[in-house]
Amino acid sequence: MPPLTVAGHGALVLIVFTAVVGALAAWSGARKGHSPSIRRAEHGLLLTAILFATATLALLYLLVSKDFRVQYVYAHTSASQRTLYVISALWAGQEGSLLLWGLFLSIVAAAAIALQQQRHTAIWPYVLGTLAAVQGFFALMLVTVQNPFSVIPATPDNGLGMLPTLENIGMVVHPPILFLGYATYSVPFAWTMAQLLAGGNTSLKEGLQELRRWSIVAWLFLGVGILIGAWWAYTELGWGGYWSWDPVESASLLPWLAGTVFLHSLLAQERRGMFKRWNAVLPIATFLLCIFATLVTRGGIIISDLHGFSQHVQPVAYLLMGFIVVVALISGFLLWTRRSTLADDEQPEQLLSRGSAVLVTNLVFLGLLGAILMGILFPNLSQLLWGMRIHLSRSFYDRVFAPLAGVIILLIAVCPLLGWRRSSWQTTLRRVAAPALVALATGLSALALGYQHVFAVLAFALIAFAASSTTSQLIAVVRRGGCRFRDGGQAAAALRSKRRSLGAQIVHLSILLMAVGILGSSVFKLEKLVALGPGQRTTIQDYTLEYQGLEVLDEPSRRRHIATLAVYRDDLRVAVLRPERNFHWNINDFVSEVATRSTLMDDLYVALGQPSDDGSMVFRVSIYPLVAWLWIGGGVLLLGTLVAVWPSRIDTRTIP
Amino acid sequence: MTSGGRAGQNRSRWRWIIGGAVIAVVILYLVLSGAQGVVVYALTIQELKSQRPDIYGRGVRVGGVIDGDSVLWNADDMTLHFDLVDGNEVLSVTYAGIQPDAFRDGAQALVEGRYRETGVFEASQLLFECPSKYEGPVPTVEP
Repeated sequence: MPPLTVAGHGALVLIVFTAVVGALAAWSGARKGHSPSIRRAEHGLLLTAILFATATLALLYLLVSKDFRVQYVYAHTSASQRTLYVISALWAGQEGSLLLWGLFLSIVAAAAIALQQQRHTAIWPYVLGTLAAVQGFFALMLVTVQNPFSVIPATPDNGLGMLPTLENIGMVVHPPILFLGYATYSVPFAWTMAQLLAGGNTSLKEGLQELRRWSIVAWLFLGVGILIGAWWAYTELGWGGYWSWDPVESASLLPWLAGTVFLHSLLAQERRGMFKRWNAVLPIATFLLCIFATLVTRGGIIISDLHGFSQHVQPVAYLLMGFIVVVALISGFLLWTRRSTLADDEQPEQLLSRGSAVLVTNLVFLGLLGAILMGILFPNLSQLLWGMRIHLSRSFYDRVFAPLAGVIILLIAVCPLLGWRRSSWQTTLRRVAAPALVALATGLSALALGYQHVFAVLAFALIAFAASSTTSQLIAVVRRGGCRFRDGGQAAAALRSKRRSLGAQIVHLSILLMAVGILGSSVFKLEKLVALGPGQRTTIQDYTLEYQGLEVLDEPSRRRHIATLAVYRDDLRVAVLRPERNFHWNINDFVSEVATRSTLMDDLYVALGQPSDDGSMVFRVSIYPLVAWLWIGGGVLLLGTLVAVWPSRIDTRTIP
Repeated sequence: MTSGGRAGQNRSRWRWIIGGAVIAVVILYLVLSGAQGVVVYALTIQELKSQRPDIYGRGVRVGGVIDGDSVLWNADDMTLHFDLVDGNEVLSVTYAGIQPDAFRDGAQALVEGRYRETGVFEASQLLFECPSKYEGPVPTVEP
């Protein structure tokens, strides 16, 4: 057996023991207030980070050195595979991706320990214990049913290699960022579990700042990870555009939705002491949804078109399900017994107040979450209830998503304009007057430009309304400040609050940009199939495409068929597109590479189809209007989140 | 502290319940109002044929193997025609789109669409076993 597999497997086994010891130390430290036990627990978690790193590096080395004796290396690499994709093979398979999940969990826990400023709070040891328990669970999975280091008896000459569709920059970036998001949510989870475990003698104000920071960072990773996945699906043909409501995709959206709800209700708790019970449930629910997403992706319980039809329930599914059930039961029990300590200081009373608006926002997001969850589980539920598998098609999700998204956009526009406790109708109407005019102008100009799609015109007007309101908020926040304060603490708090507001408004704006992208590219999408011989032309909207010829190239792993199309607009040549349809020897199948030309107004998207008998080639030509704004919105989201969460020098000096 | 105390809390709780109920009702309405277009039954070819004529026009997903000899491309209306085989059962499928990447003789496919009275299955989507978890046979004998 290769020594590295022994080392890697051994490291994972050690993690299980270290985690158990660490959790026990944390528990005794919590019960007895024993500092050395707590420190032992912290050291234990630092050790698990080192062990996870060891195991990961071991697997990485085995991959890069292409040691085909190891089952995982055999299954995911081949001799001719490029190094970048050999590295990404680390998360291409079940075992490797779970190992990466575990590595990130341990890194995040170590970071939480390093950044923790107050160690003498009552809940800190429970945080440590929870983090240790989670890591122990992952290591247990890796040691029992998902062993990345299993060795095969024979030594094959070559590995199976990776699917060509996975040899894409998306595969290199999307899973790690997504796992980082999932793993980072373990910290808010641990904090909340700790508060519940510690009982009534803790103030829920403890660690609110850290909780907020960790939640925003996790939310950012998750959101960016999902967007990169969408971009990857868009650029790889056959994966249905950037979103197809496939169970795997939808499942990753669930924790993001829950995380969004949590961010807003956390704000309400910070400002007004509202939603304490929500905030006791949401981080736990969010983390469990991350586990659920892994279950959907890897468990084989839910049929996913993105991941094949195998209905074979994998053993790991039982472990993951067990984790969800056990944690839900424990936290549910604790919540019930502690419910009296979770009374709100204040509750939203007036309908026209920010408190109520946040409540409505939360309900809408949760409604969306529930609907999507139902959609994912529907085939399994229908099998259970009626004996036959019934799926819900795309139109179910689109039908639920569109109106709820509209409500959310409306809330983005109105909510920041309202006072927390109450607002008068007059003030509110005054504040929405200007944005309403902008909306009206947008709607009328759309009609004037000839757009007749009623829904789209209304939707664009709504987005304009929200964008105008958000922009005026942004300007107001930037203008704010320059006031005098009695002491540095107040000034620091004001600056912090200003940065957070600014960040929030930028994030809201980014959501609106993404809404523009999604609206344009779904409602106004155009597509046509056309067969072109050399020299022949076709038009779609303002573009004219001329097929110039086909090139056949032989490479070691594939035979490439590259078509060249010249793109004209107003008689000016604006681009040359080269879609490909390549035959890969190792999988005995074709893999297409689409060609796109992106502008801010639209994407011209061309896919090469099969040749016709008469020598012409079939093309699928599509136009996705405004889709670039979806990706631009993602970038703005990143910016806004960084603004909101960036630590200022002042923070470290003042009391939270 | 809140004004209204206990009464205020009860009022808010009702608001939550009503708000949640409203949203749930709206979603349910959205779903049920177009249930026909939203629901897709997973059937075998045999089950599909045995459920005629009720099954005509309903959203269905059927699995089978592509018969390479039957594949025809109609260049005039840009449609792909082929037979889907499951055991002894054969289903005639038509699809308006370019041949997907994984489409070939012997490929395991799921066709999603509607069965028409003409006996032809109009597929709106062709789905293939896309094994991102590529598992092949593991060699067990020493070379």
